[in-house]
Amino acid sequence: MPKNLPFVDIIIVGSGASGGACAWKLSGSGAKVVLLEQGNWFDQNDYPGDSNDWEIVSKNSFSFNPNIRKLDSDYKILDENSDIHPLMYNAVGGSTHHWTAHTPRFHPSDFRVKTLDGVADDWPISYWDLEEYYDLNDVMMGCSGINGDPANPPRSPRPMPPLPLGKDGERIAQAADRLGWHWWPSDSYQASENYKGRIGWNNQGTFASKNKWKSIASTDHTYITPAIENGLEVRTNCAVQNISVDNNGNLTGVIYVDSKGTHYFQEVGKVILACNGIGTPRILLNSKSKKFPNGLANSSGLVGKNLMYHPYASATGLFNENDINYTLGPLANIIIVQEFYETDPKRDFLRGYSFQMNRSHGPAHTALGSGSGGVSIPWGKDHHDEFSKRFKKYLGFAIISEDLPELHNRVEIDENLKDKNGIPLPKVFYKTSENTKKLLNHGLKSAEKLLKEAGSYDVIKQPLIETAGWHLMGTAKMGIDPNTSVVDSECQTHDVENLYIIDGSVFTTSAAVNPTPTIQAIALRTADKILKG
Amino acid sequence: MSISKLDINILYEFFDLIIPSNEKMPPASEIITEEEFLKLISTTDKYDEGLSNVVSFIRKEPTARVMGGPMVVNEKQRADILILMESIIPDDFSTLIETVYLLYYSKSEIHEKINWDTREDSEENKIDSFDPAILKNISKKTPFWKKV
Ligand SMILES: Cc1cc2nc3c(=O)[nH]c(=O)nc-3n(C[C@H](O)[C@H](O)[C@H](O)COP(=O)(O)OP(=O)(O)OC[C@H]3O[C@@H](n4cnc5c(N)ncnc54)[C@H](O)[C@@H]3O)c2cc1C
Repeated sequence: MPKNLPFVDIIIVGSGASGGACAWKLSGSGAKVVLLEQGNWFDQNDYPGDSNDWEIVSKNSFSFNPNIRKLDSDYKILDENSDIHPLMYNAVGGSTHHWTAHTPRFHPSDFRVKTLDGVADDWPISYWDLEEYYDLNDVMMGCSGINGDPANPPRSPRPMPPLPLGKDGERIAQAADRLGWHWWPSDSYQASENYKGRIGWNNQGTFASKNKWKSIASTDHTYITPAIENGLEVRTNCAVQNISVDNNGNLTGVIYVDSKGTHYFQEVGKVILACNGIGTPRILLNSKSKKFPNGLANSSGLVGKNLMYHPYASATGLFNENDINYTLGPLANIIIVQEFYETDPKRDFLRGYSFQMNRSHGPAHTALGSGSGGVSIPWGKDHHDEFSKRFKKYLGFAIISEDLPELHNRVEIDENLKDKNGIPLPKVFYKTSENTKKLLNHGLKSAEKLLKEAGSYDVIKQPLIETAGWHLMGTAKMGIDPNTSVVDSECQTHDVENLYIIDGSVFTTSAAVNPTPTIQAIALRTADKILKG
Repeated sequence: MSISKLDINILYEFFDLIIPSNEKMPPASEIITEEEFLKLISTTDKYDEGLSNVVSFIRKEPTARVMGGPMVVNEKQRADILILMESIIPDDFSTLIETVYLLYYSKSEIHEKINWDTREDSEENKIDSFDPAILKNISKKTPFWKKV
């Protein structure tokens, strides 16, 4: 029997991008708010960025992939049936510990895909409903960038100037200008100058030393630490197993396990799930009851369905010149190109894509082909010559495609395989669609054109990056109709009052940009709606 | 980790074929110590299966058997074993490559030789701040986001 804990007003499960933002907004409101996180605090001193073996660590205990990392806080993801491997980090701050912090916003058109293109669904909210929360998040996370991007609506002044473009970024910008294509300095939640106690950092030297770690925003310091000062309680190493309801389907509490294996029943008024597009459906599907035999909030049958990742392709250009060091500056928060963002009836696919410019990696990753299509430098007698052709001499584009929702792409749970806390493991099914393949193919051709225009003598292309499952969306869709969606426009589940979902699970469609500012804007908006009653 | 000392010796026989020396660069076996190799493969189980398969492949390879084991086959024969391995068990072969490349390119001796300086205050790592003048052309583009 779990130990009963006295009533609290609000439980937030998961302390990543969304949970952190929401916790801060709710803290100080007078309500008793508790944040439950299965991982621990991340110790800045553990950050390996300024050691020589950084590249070794990043392939192992600091890998983006929990199935490789296997830390105590990680759960295994059964992803054999997925074309793309899901990535995440499990600690206070969640996946914002690993992220690149490239932070574009959705376009207004992204919320109206059905109206514009006759596919998927429109969101029940618009860009303009989120605008004030995007702005607030930009201030809290600290956005480096500059206004005036012609591909996007005007936005509030960025708190910091853009990160430097570098000589290589300027070369791409000029090439795009010559082609008449859109480009713009990326918005980024990496501080380009000192900001709210964080040290500005432009990636001189490429890897962050320990004291620069915080220049890249993670919610443990941007949101959760200030929220604790406002009265938030954080319980770490607490993995939520399921959410309880009474016989009438009313929310009663959550059951969680701590690191000693002790089970608790936490009685609660409202529960907010923020465990990402895999962790959230996992909890819901594990919360079966008489009233909800298929899992909680799942009367539509859509919990876990419509998983979207943003399939990525990459095009890497090799350059001859020795006057540019292509490792200098941020790895990937440089330039965004949105020339091909919207649907064009002349093309053979729907929706569009963005390019995100990225640079050369360190020596070991260069040798292993990271950032250059996964193509390793050949072994044997030509090894050193080939290495010097590539090292510090490549840059490329990640092509971020809009992923349309499809029911067969999904997260299930495996009742027979459980993690150390007794929670069933998630099983992921994902097949890349024909539309995506055509879209990425188009993206590769246009990336090649831009790289050649910039002076690249050879372009290495990777049609689908299997290891790029960093964006997890769609598995508890937002919509108006309870038959075809899981949460309403305020992120409350249709089936269970006082149960909310605020992570990327609620995305109706995925857009073709990195999702986190939108996830956080939704989280802040939900908190605001809860506060306003 | 199920790899024995003898297995590691066998793998070492192949390191210099993977990264040989040239006028400027040392060969892999000179740079990667056994201790570091052991440390890498014992801190994770990620390499276990791949490296075990690599070792059994080498042990079973007919040339190696006929010649009395991998330690006595000549350089050409060892290179042939690697070529075969790369085509028959590519994933396991990649595991071997990952361990060798990671360890080789993480050493400061190598960083010096390839001019990889990560110090923020080094002259080589200076980067100019963003200059808005670069936006001159793109700023003239008419806004083209869809108003919906
Ligand atoms: C390598 C990498 C690079 C990325 N780069 C970018 C980028 O440049 N731009 C961008 O926009 N996005 C990027 N992302 C994605 C971004 O990190 C995520 O979109 C964002 O963190 C998602 O926020 P979230 O709150 O939904 O989930 P997360 O940040 O993943 O947090 C979920 C939290 O919930 C906790 N949790 C899960 N299950 C339980 C449970 N049962 N009980 C208790 N706690 C639980 C987890 O431990 C975790 O801390 C990147 C991701 C990765 C991995």
